[in-house]
Amino acid sequence: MKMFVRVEPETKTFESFEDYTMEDLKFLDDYENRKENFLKYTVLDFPKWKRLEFSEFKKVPIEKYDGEFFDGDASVLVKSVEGLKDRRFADLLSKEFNGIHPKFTLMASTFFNTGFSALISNSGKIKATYDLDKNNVIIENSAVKLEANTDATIIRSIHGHGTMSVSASKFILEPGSKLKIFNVMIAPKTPLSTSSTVYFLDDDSELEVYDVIFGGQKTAIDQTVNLNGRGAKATLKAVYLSRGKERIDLRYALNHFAPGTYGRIFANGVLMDEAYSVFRGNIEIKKEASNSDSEEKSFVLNLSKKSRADSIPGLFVDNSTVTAKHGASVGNIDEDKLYYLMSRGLDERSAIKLIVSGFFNPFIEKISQDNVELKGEIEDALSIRI
Amino acid sequence: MKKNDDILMKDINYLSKAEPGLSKKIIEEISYSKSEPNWMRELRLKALEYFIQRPNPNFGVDISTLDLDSIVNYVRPNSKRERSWEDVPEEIRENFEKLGIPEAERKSLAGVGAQYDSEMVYHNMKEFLSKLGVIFLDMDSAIKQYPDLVKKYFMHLIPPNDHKFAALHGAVWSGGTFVYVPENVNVPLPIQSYYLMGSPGMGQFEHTLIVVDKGAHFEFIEGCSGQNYSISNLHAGAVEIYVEEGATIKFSTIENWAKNTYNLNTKRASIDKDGTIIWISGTMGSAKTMLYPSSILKGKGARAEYTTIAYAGQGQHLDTGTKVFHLAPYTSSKVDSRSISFGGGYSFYRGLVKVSESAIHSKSSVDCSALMVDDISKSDTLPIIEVMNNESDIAHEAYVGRINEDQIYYLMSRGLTEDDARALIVRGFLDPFIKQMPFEYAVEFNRLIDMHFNSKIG
Repeated sequence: MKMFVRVEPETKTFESFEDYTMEDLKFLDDYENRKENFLKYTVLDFPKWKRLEFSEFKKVPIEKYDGEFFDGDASVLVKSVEGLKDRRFADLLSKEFNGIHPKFTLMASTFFNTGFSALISNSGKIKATYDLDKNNVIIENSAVKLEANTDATIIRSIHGHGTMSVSASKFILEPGSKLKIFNVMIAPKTPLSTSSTVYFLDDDSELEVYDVIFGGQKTAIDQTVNLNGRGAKATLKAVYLSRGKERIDLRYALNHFAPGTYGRIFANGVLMDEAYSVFRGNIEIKKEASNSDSEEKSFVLNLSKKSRADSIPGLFVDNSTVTAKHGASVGNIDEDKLYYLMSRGLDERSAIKLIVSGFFNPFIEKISQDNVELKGEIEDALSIRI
Repeated sequence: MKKNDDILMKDINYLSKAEPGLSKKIIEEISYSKSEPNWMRELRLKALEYFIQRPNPNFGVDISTLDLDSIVNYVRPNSKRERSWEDVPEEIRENFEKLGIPEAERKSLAGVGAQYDSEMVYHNMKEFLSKLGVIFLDMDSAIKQYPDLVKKYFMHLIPPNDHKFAALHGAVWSGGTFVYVPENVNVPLPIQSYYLMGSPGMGQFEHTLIVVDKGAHFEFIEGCSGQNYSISNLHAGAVEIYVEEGATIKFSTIENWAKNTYNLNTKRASIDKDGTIIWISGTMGSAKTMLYPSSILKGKGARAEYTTIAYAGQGQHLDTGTKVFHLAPYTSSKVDSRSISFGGGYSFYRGLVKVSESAIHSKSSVDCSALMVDDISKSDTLPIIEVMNNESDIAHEAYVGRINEDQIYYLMSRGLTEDDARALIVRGFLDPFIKQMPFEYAVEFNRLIDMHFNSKIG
């Protein structure tokens, strides 16, 4: 049968006056192993993002990462610069994927100055904390492999005020493995914060993602889940708050390639001042993915007259035995809710704060008790901003 | 609305037929043969320039197989515009009668227009309406009789440089309908126009311009059909609707182009204070369609409502949707969009709701659902929401899914065959749309569903 072609606009690109060269590699370890990626990187132009108003790239020197950035338990847990020499991680660390744009994912796999590589053989717990105050440019390249029937909890966070953070992380979940991952970004003053993550889920594996985002000035995040194995399950939850002139573009994608797969995307955002958010939720259900079930829900609480919220939810379905849904809404605080809280003695500001905290608290509660510091940091970020 | 394959067109004597493709000369000839005023000729030539400059749309259906150089852009049937159906040449009349058109007029319409290929061949309206000041004319006559009125509105909502096919339309448009409903006039019965494509390899580019003045009420029905040929036909019409303060229009379309047709159509309405537009739109024909009726809610309290269906069967790629621009306070929009894909068909819903900074206290709800009936078909939805203020309530919901097997099982336990059960569920799914259609269309539409699902009931 003849298949129809869906015509889609191509991503616009621009040729930057400034870009990283071989020279910039020389300051980083393991120059030889990065060269191949560089050749792919250097032929690409930068993406031009209309909604994010990104049309110019300013090159900032990349330096070696200053300080320790991870700890935890895993069968193997090393810096990615070590991982590059290890057969078990080398391919995954250099794996190409689109993420926010191949230019940025290749930038990460070529020029990374930080990132970790881990192998989970039974049960793992990893905490990675990246400090933008000490490191003006953070380029992360991480790779994690969960062997069959293992489980792991990972907490990744990035904080502080630098110039740029670029991240590309890749996760493999072998059959029956379970991964719970928290991604926390508190870098509101950083001009450009980007993160691309891809997950490959084998049979009956399970993924839970919790994103807490306080962004940078321009933030682009992509989380792509490939449900490759039968019965694989993924739940992505995100909460974000933007204010000032911040712009944030979030893309969450569930690609169902196998029968009986399950996916959920839930996102709540809060906008203040002149903030501008774009939320893209993409559900693709391929022909092979019979009896799959996928749903996406997004809500934006718009607190300011001058803020702007775009929602672009997409459902792409090739199979008739599935359920696929999406719901997107944009609105202000429910007057009844506000009135009720105020009738209980709260002033308007406190009432709004309480409602917004209601979005964040379930995330904070999920983070385990041994991360008191991070929990406190999220709470602080929230209370400073409202 | 009969199946296209049932209609065997009678051969028509053509008075004039342009060469395939486009050139300044062809356009000047079209304009000359219509003895158009200068401004129209200039608009056409300007549009041709835009057409040449503009790239193909970078989204939607693949039109790389459409050879614009082989499309005959102007085909004039050998007929004058008649006011009496009996005066329309017999061959053309027969082709329309096969579609059941003149009967409908006698029963329940206030007026009827019929276009064959590039020209209107018939136009008539009940007498009492002209006494109320309602104007219902073919576009060529309207330009001659009401030049100022037409010039004030023509291609202002859809400027020729809007996109490539709007430009093509501007260059070669021919035929179509002009309606003006004066202030506070309530037209009690709908007016209907039919468009029929009878020639192989032709393009039809009718222009519909409707102005509903303050406080007036009006209903318009548009029906489109054509014969199936082995080479491609192109339809790139334009519909411009101006709804003035407090006015209401219901605009219904039943598009059943032949399966060799590229339907790249543009429809746009501007709605002033407290005005309302109700779009009823059914797309079941054509090989490939790109159509997104747009409502520009520019006056306070303006409203837009949509009930649309896309029915994509074998060999069809229908990329349809709705666009609403909320530009003033207290505007509201409601969209109910449904699609069915079967037999390898592909339906794509593409929506946009844009709420400007000044459109405070606006409300919009968009519901789109898609029913998949088999494993070889495809259904996608991509609704975009852009909200620029914090005092509006905007919600979108979408659902893509299969026919519930429990329902089939239940209906079968009540004695229906599986095919009958499927047809019944499909009809139920499309009911909000079918209910809004004129009776004779609804009957035909139900037959179409029964045929596709091998059902014997109904």
